[in-house]
Amino acid sequence: MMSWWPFGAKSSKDTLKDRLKVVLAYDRAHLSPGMVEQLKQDLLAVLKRYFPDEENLSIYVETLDDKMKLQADVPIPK
Amino acid sequence: MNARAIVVTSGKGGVGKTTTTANVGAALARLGEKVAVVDVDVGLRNLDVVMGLEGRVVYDLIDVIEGRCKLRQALIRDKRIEGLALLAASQTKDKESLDPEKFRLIVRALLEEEGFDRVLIDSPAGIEKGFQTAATPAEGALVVVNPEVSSVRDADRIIGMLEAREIRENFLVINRLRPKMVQRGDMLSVEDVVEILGIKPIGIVPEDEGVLVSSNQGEPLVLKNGSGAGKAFVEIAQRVRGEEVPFAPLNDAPGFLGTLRRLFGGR
Repeated sequence: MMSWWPFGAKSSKDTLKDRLKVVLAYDRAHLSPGMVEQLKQDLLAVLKRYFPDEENLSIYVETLDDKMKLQADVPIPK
Repeated sequence: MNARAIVVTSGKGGVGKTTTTANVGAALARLGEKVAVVDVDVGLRNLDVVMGLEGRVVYDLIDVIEGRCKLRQALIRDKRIEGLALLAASQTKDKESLDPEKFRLIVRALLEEEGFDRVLIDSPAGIEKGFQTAATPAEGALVVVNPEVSSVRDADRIIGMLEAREIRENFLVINRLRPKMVQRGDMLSVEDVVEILGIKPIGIVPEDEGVLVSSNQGEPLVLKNGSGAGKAFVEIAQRVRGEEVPFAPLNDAPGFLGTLRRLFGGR
């Protein structure tokens, strides 16, 4: 969409830029986004088994330049 | 560019490889180089028609490889431009009939025996054997990309494959840029494409109706004056030769609204 209005939604090219960065990171890593999503779900399920009461488990993919990292945030309950 | 054998490639089809090959080749020749442009799109040859030389094709690349003629007999000299010659692809054979190592020898013969300063290789679309063969003799590449999603993604693949082949002198030709769309944030800018793909641009070619008209006529665009794209192709040739040519600002003057937008943090 045209987006000359600076306060509204972001421009279509910025949307494209974000999408390209993600898709190229997967392409370069020879990974399929769906596979990584499954891996995230599986890892979460395992973590849930060990920390059933922990609400703040999170696993996410971070892209830095052309490198990708799978990060897990697992607070250990006291 | 130090590379004398340069592959023109893109991954995606229809982004302007053949147009770039024809026009950069013609511009290099006009700048005094002896240039051979070679069509490697076996089975789907088009460089001959874009250049307006289709009526003079007698022998092709496969005829040379299979020994039906000498290399020199297959070279079509462009009578309009001193120093420019075309080696056509075969239209009837398929891509399997072109052996990469034999193709490498042909490019070497063009440079070392036929006295060409530069060989531009028009690669077929795709990343399979046709592209691999076209890239085999190359020392550098012009990666043609349009500022749109599938072309950028495919260019990234191609750049990875060139680097895997240790082809290092790789530059972007950003083709069919529409300054007005860039200005209103609906098309990736040159800076965006360069940031995403991580290699330097050697040329920025604006969308230009003249490109279609000149291919209709079989006349290289660089022979005509006043065309935005034609000028851009000449500048690419100058940069290939190592001349420092500043990138002219493509954006039409931003105007009052554009300035306002910028002031308010829009891009």
